[in-house]
Parts: sequence; C-alpha cells; structure tokens
Amino acid sequence: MNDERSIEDLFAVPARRDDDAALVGAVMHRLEVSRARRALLLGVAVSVGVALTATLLVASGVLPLAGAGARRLLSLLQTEAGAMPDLHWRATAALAALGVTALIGAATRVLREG
Amino acid sequence: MAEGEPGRPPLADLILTGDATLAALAAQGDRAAFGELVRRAMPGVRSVLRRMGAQPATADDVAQDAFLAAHRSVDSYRGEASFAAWTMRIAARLYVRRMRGEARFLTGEEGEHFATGSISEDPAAGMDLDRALALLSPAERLCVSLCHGAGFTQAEIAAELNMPLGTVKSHVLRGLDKLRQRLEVAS
Repeated sequence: MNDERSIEDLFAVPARRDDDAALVGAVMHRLEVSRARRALLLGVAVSVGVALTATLLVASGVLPLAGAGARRLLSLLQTEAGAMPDLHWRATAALAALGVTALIGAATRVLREG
Repeated sequence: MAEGEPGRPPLADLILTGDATLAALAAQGDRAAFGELVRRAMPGVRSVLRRMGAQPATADDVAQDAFLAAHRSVDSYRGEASFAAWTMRIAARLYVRRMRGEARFLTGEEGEHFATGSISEDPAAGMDLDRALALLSPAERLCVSLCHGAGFTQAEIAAELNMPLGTVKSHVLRGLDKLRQRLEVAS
C-alpha cells in the first residue's frame, strides 16, 4: 500500500455484496412501471387533444360536419356562443389548437424523460 | 425488443457485448440490453455509495434512482469510460445532493468514527478497504471515495460539496494517509 494507484486498485474491487440480482430486478421493475405510466399519460393526453381539436375544428367550420352527432354538437356550441362573430370562432380554434399542441408536446416530453 | 430482432445480438450474446453497444441498444428501447448494463454496473455503484458512507437502504435507493437517471440519458453515454464508472458518477452526485440537507452529513465528530482498536480486535478478518474507510471522518471518507472510487476530480468534489478546493485536498490527503496507515498495519 505505497501509492495512490494501489488505493484506486482497491476501490476498483466491489465491496462484498449481498444480493445484487434483487436490486437489478427492482430497477427493471421501476423502469417498467415508469414506462407504463408514461404510456398511459401520453394516451390520455393524445385522446384529449384529438377530441378537443376535432370539436373545435368542426365547431369553427374549418372541417365539414359529419354525422348527426357533430351537427348537434355544433348547434349546441353555436347556441352557447350566441352572436359571436365567425372570426372569433376561428381565432378561438387556432388558440385551442396551439394549446393542444403544447399539451401533446408536454406529454411527449414526459414520455421521453420519464 | 424480442430475441433475434434485427440489429441486436441474441440474448445469450449480450454478456459478451461492449458497454457502448449495449447503451446504443438501450437508447433504442432494448430493455434486455439495459438490464445487462445494470447487472454489470450494480456492484460498483452500490460499493461506491456504501464507501461514501451511505447506509445500506439509502445506498440501494440511490442506486435505483441513479440507474433510472442513467436510463433517461443513456443516449448521451459515449463509451469513454465503462458504463459502471459513468453510472457511479451519477449515483455519487445523487447521493451528495440527497444528503446535503442532513446536518451531520459532513460534521460528525472524528472521535465517533475512529475505532482504533478494531484492527487488533479482529485480526482474522483482516483489514479491507471498507473497514478502513469506516474509520475515517465523514468528510475524509466522502472526499476519498469521490476521488478514488467515483473518479471525480478534486475541483469537481469542491463544486459538488460547496467546499473550498484546499479543504477538499486536505481531506483527500489526510484520508489517504490514514487509509495507507491502517491497511499497512492490517497487512
């Protein structure tokens, strides 16, 4: 034990350890749980985003109406909106789309970073 | 990723695959490759944490957190050092940050940590590095382990511990002197 090199050699040898395999298993389990949680979060975010975007695009007239359900939804939204000018609808839709994009971006970031 | 998937060695060959290749596979989502990296690095990561002074349960917690952090940034691993060494640095940083708030982290009384009679009390067990480290003060033990176990430079240790560089140098020198003295006595 005459120099620092030999100290580093000693440090290079792992300490006597009990059960590394159990801890390796725990790490892999936590990774799996984290992956499942992120996938669920992303799924919810994308679903909400798609639903919001579709609703707003239909309501603002950007997308043609399809089906009676969408027509009823539009009617309801127009009733609620009253005499809101068409320009406001389009601006609202554009802002909402930006918000949805941000939501999806945040979910993607969560998915990547855990 | 299933065994036999194009672009990755069969599971049985992972054990022979280099860290950089495994890390590249792990970055693409290959769990088995990352599992092999964890298996290789776990002894070293746990050891360095214990040698820094972490209690066993804390060391295991921090080790898990370190591997999760390593997984998140595995695409930045360049293979310049072993994956174990790379993860040891992550683990050491996590441990230091976790323990910074604890009042006794670096301020334990030296007398509590120097059990001078332990060498002769149990000569059959010998004096290994871990037992010798346990006889250092917390600050000496931490600085020596960060420097010689986790591969930090003394300047990096000073930055991590918010400590003057000169103080770090003193802790490392004193710690090494004490280690040499005790290991020589034991041998």
